[in-house]
Amino acid sequence: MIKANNLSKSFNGNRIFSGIDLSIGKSTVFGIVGNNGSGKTTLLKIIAGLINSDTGSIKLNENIKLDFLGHENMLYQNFSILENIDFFSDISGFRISAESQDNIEQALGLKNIVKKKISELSYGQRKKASMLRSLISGPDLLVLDEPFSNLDCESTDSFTTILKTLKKENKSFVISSNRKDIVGSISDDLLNMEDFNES
Amino acid sequence: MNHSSDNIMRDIKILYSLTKKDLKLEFRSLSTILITIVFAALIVVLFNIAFPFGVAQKNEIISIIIWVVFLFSSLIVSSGMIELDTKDNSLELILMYGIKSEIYFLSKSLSVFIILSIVQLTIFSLFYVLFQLSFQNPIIILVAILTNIGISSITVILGILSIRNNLNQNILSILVIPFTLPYLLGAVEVTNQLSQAGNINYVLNSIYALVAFDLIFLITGSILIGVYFKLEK
Repeated sequence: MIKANNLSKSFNGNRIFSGIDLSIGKSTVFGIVGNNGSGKTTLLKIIAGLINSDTGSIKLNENIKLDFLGHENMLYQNFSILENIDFFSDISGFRISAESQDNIEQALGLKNIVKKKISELSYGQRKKASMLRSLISGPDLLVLDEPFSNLDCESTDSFTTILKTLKKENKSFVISSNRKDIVGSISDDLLNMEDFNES
Repeated sequence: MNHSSDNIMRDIKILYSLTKKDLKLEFRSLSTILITIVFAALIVVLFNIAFPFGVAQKNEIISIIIWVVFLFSSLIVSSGMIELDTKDNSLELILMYGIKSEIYFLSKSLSVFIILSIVQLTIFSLFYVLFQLSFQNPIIILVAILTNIGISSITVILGILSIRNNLNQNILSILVIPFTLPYLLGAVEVTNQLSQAGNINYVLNSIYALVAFDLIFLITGSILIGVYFKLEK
């Protein structure tokens, strides 16, 4: 599904990481762990095509639908959850069935608040709204940056369950976290950023 | 043939969705429109006090004030409209979905154009009430639209570049002046001519120049923003 060779990235002359090779197939959860500042977000943005790497190459299979869930919720604060979803579906051109959307809303506990503005939600609810947004296009590969940070145990469990269900439907995920315990437990493959950081 | 017409239809649909989103967000908060209208109204009222009726060369002075107020209002509007996408980084998602940079640029320019038209209508109404300025010739509407298109595209180009680079808003004001000077000179002259029922042939030449500037800035803006987004990656 995705193959990368010899990725490296520097900012202002400081090498963040180098020599990263990775390969992610169908129905895979690929974990990326590392401390703060180790370059997890940068690597995820390279995989999602948001920024370019300094060296190496990254190849995605044709016609792959990719979505990204970042640190920031990337949603319009004055729009409701539904309005955000409608807008991003319109511009991406993809949307899962109403039934699947309903199931995810239910699983994330957002069913009763989908018409609320993002600015009226708590931090955890915003995070879940972003998750819902990222899942709504039905991506083949979902790139998730620290999806479990600031989530309560119940929400972490329900999100993990959703990932496992989608994995059975041939979907793949790249998940970054500084919590090796959580990511390690759900990943098929694990990359430790510290192995690629310049010492 | 079908494939390319499908692509054009999709681009138009995305342009519509992006513009609709901007306007919906703006009309919901009214933050940019209100700030701009209050700013414009304050300046018009201050000039009304400073230049009492009957002053010599009133028309010339008013023609200049109208467009200078409009220029600075456009800076507030374009910054507000661009920040809608940069504040929570939703621009990254928009670009990730493969939206063409020229479609993004055109949609932003269209949103700024619509909001600016509302502000412009308010400015002209204020001038009518406070300075008894009236235009017999409807060509002024065409001039206002053409100037608005150009100023919208210029402020969007410079706004994206300055906001994405975290440059101070003051720099945007400085950058925008040399680019908008041709518009302002043309618009001031035409406004002055029309308010005095001046020579229509002279006005037509200025209108052709405004059309040419609009095309130049819309085309170069589309290309420039595309190159900038690529370099930024």
